[in-house]
Amino acid sequence: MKGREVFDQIPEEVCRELEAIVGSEHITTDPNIRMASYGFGFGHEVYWFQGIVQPPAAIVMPKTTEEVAKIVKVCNRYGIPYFAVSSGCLVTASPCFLQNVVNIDLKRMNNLEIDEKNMFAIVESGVTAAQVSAEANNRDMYYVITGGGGLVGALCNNYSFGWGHFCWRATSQSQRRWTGIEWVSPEGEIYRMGSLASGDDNWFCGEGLGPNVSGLLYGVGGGWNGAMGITTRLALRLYPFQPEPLEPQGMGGDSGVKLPARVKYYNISFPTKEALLKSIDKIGEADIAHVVNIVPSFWRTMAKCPGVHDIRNEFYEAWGPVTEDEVRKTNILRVLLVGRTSLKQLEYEERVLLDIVNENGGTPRRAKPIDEGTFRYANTADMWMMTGAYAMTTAGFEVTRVIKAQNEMFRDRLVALPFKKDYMDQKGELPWYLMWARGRVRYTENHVQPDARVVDPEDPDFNPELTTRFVPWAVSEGPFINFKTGSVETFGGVTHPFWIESQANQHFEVWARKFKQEFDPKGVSGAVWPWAIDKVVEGAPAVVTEELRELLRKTEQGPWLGNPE
Amino acid sequence: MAEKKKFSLGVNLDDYRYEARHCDGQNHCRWIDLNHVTGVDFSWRCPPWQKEGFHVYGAAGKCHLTYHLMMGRLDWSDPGLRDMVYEDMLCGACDTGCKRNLDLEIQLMLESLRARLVEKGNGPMPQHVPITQNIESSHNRYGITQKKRFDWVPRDVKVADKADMLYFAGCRAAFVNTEIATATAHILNAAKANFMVMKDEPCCGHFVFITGQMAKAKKLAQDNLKLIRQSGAKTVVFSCPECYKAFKVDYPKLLGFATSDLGFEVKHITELADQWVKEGNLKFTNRIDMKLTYHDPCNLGRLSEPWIPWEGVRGDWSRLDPPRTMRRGTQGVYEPPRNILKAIPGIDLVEMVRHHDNAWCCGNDGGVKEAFPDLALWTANERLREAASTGAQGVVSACPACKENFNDAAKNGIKFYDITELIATAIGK
Amino acid sequence: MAIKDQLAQIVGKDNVLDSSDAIERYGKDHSIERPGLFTCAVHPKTVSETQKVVQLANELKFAVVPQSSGIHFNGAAVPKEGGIVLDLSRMNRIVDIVDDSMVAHLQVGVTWEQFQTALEAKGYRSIIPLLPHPERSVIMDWLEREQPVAQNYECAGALRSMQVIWGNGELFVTGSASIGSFRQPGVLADGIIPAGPGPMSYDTFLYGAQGTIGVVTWGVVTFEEIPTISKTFFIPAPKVEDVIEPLYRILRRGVCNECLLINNINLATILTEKWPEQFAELRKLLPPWTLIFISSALKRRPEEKIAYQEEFLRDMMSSYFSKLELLTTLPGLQAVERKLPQMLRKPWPKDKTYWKHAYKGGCQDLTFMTTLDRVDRYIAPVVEVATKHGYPANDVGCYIQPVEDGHACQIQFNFFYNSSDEAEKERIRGLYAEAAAAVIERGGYFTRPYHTVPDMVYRKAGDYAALLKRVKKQFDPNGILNPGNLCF
Repeated sequence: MKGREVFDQIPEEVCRELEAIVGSEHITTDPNIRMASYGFGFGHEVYWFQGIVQPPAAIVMPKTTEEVAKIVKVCNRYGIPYFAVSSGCLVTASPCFLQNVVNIDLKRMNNLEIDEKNMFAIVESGVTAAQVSAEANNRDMYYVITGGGGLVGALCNNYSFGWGHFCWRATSQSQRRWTGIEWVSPEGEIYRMGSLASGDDNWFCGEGLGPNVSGLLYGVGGGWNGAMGITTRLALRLYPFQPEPLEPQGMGGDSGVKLPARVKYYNISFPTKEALLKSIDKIGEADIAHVVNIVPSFWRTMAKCPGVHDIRNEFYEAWGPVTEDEVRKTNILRVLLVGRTSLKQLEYEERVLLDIVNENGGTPRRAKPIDEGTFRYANTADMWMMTGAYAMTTAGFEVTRVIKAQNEMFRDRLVALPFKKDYMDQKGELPWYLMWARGRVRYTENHVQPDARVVDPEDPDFNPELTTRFVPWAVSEGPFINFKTGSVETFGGVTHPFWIESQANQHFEVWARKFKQEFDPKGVSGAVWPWAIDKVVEGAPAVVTEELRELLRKTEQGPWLGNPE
Repeated sequence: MAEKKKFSLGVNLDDYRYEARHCDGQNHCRWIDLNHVTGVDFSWRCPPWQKEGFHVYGAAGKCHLTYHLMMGRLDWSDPGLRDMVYEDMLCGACDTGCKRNLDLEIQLMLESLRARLVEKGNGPMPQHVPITQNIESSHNRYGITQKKRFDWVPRDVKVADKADMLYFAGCRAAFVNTEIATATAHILNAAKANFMVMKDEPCCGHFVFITGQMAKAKKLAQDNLKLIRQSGAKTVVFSCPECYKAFKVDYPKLLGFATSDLGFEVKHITELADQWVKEGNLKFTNRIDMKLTYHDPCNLGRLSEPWIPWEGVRGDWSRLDPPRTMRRGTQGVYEPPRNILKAIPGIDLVEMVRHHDNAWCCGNDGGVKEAFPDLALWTANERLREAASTGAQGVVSACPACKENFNDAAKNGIKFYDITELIATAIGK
Repeated sequence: MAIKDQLAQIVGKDNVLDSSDAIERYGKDHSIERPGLFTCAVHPKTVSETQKVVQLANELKFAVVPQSSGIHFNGAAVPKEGGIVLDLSRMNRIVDIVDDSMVAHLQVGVTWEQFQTALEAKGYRSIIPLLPHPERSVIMDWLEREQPVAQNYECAGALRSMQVIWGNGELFVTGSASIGSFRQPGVLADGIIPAGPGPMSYDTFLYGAQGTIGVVTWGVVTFEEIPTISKTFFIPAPKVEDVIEPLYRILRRGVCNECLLINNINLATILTEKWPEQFAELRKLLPPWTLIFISSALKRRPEEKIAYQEEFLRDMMSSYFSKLELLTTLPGLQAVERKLPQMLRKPWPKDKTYWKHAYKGGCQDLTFMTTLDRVDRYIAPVVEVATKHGYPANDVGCYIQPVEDGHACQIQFNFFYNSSDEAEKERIRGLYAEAAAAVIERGGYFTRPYHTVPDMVYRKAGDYAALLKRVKKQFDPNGILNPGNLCF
């Protein structure tokens, strides 16, 4: 095995069986490697997993679906939990919350095939979104890259979130983009779904033979977080784009791709928020545009930092003097136009866009003719730059009025928060918007930014009072807003307790537990399910505020007006 | 809050607690700049991580490793730990990748990690000891008598007894890849740049530094700087990026002052040659009809930005106080070599996917070639495969270490040149 | 107490039907499925009545065969193992049409005709399959995986959140309408997100389920604006292969809304107004295959949009497909280019015999999925099977519907027959089974397995069938929902 062989958590005979499956080079029980292999992303940056996140007991790196299935069967036989990691990047890297767990690192499964004609990509677990995106762009197509950025695993991200900038025209429902699924069940059986199910090597259709069982694998938000087996290969839809190459240029923070003539960015400023929101509606009604989004002022300030000095200082120098009045008056819309048909289409859409902008008092500005990695890779590092951490209280998607209400509620409650100085001052800015389905569906994320060090119990600057008041707010605020407005919580189970979401939404937990029991009777798939947030709440029930409990009671009881009797 | 603790940039691992703890797993340390990704192939930037697979071999894993070491959860004396830390070229790709978005000093943390291992008696690698001993006793990495140091100087090269410019050849060019030193000398002559050499030219000590032996490296730095200052040179020119970076970056780092305070200019031969070509002082009279691709040496590109000392605290929102000027790897010597190659008649210069700050390492730094030769050769082969994918007939670089490793790697028919050789050919030497 | 009496206590005596007329009416449909026997048909009006019926079925273990409208074409709603028919057509309210979100909240019994009328009154149009029967349930057509003719409205499909009574009698809501306070004052959601709640997409279990997993009672459906102007294009071709490449390009470059590829007999049945003489003429006049696609534009600068799309089309044809013609009408068919957009955006008119039945009275569809570049694999073999069963080759209807930018397509073969001739029907049964086998052998994928197809496909996909059964067992542990269908 790689490194030192230490069998302090998993018996040697189990490790030898795993070694026989993957080969000595691709398994380790070395304590250094194990300790270096956990706690990515949400592991410790989101502080409430402090002391809960565990290093794996062994790490194996299979190469094929068959190897994955054999590993899972060994784990089932011995009753040893396992969890899978693909790119290990950011939010989608499932932390491990149990001891004695096998980490199945899928990095070696990095094949990518593209059917250019029928527009799908067959990806293995180790392929990143950026790789799929680049290969798609080379072929007159685009891939719906997600907000997690280009370095998330393309496959696993379609199982955890799967939406991003490109959902103006392509569905935000990532499961509708699956056209063939190869799945290792929690017990280690290999199943194929979609057109693969009939045994032919057909990856083109994700619908079921009759009912579609792939609905078992993902719903919204965090999904199962690894608790419903491992998908090793997935065919994903690609979408028509435009055929001209996107040329990389520049270095570091100035890198980008030169946009060809058929792709153009616009930044448009409006005199009022109402004018901006009305224009979005009109753009949707006009059936133009490829990406439409709004970013909060502080992210725009961040993007403008030159990076000569540490960006955090540059940011605060720029953001510090900005007033709430200036923020209120800054209403910038970003629109990407793509001439999918031809250059003439781009020109047509430009004329229509400018008509709308003029009607609503906007001022259009041509953005630089490069993309710095926003629409293609959704580079989200800015979230961390401002304070080293961010806390997602909730996200949400639903129709426009819901997300508008959600954002306004979040902003107003944040402004009124007695301890708002715990967080970076957002100066009354509304959170960001992504617009989808030609404007009819909106998405948002409601973040606050505490200083990463003061919420870290292992840091000398740890502030226990701040953390004590922060955790209940972070756990309860998001669901409160979701239930009040009706927006769909998209990170359920990841940032707040599964059982709270469930109570408010048809007690879906009952069904989820049934299916979990059915397909994973030994409970070994995924390193704790539901996620540890539920454990946190179990241990500290007061993190669920009375305000939320009351709303939850009302929500659960109805009266439910969805039934026209 | 606890009283703010001052810290500085250097090679003290304790000053990088923030880096170790606040890696958030974005993984830009492993993959090239996303805007430059053109597909699956050639999208990785970290050779040890790509080859070995486990997280510990990449910077993100090293951050976690470092943090757990700091917190006493791992054993500093573990030989396996040493191996994992040293199986790394310290090529700076991770540092550059991370700094596209964050302000973490990954390279410095990794250098300091080695330094701490050495302090704890668990470094460097056994294979590094004989070379270190050679440097200490013979003043060159090969253990060859220094009397042979200037055997490379050809008769038709004019070397001044005293001049404002000093050419520092470095061990590799002096003893092994002498064609590089010879070519450099011809270039200097052709441009009518009067130059001297250092009679007792010592090893720059890059190897000692990069293997974490900081006390020895510091002594070397002090001694070497004294020699340079005694020589009266106003400009020191290098053909070896390791030596170049040692003087420009690591000596000031170790000794606590800025590059601008060295007391002399530090130049790589390509910086000067580029200038001379533009001024008309270097003329290319011979054609070289070849399709070539340029390989950016790490120590000339992303790792060569001038050193700027910093000391301060982390204040509110973990801001640095005072603000720190960042070295992100984008201001290295990238364009001069390219300008020169484009100016040589006949050369058709094409870029690999991974170029400039995204360049894939040649595999020959960090003591890897000595201690982990498989990784060194595998890395070089990957780079040669990438070069071949451009359709180029040859690879040009500007570093004798790169040349050594590429030549040792599997032969796939592609030729390798140092840029000095091409310049010399083009000027008729 | 007898089952019928217990049912009567739930829905009222008048809504439990067991007369011989009722048994005949509910026991068969427009397909080749043999009529089924059952105890009675039950007509609930409300969700709670429906739920009580299903709960009773669980208690007493009788089968429940849901039907949403009176019109079924595929045999799925014909009772195969007795039980009761659960007729949901009384639940036919359009609860709401929400202008700003472009969604409508429909009960399951709402028909295309009803929906289209309500939308037109407000200046909207539905996303719609090819000329559906006006009395078909909108929701059921989507659940049965009919494909929309307009290809540019992909965004997650038309059907979003749904309410369902699972086979075990529990009520559930899928998608974003699942919030317990849905439609309470202040809760602003429209149920536009189909997935979830939680880690599963319950809606996917219901598509193609033929009423075996749950009984859907209402759903949220999206709709669109009526285009301001439209321009219809036709590319006639002697062989289907001739138009595949142009079709790929047309869809790739996004120059159309509605788009379909159809053979002459199907097109003739759609366009014929005077039967039978015009039909005979049309089927001779029409080219063997016609690619029909409609460019359209909304309110802003509509002529400019049509202009750039047409420019692209003409360049494309002259550069790459000079042997084909791009027409803006079909010769001999007056104003067909204006007629078709009107037709294709609505259900079939209520006052006309349904187009599939106009020729001979009956029509059996064979529907499956493939990719456009494989279409030519299927035509000849299916026609060969047809002729082997005495079915005239030139009577085989074929309609190819590209799906979502052309990444796949649905092929539908239509076999017309005299529905009152039992012998002919029997021949069609034989033809259907053998044609389906030929399709399966060549990699055709049946997302809608009916009649003899389920046996064939689930035998081949044994693992998937096993998975389906495990899923079904969770939702319908007593196996009461529409037994005898699919693999259940």
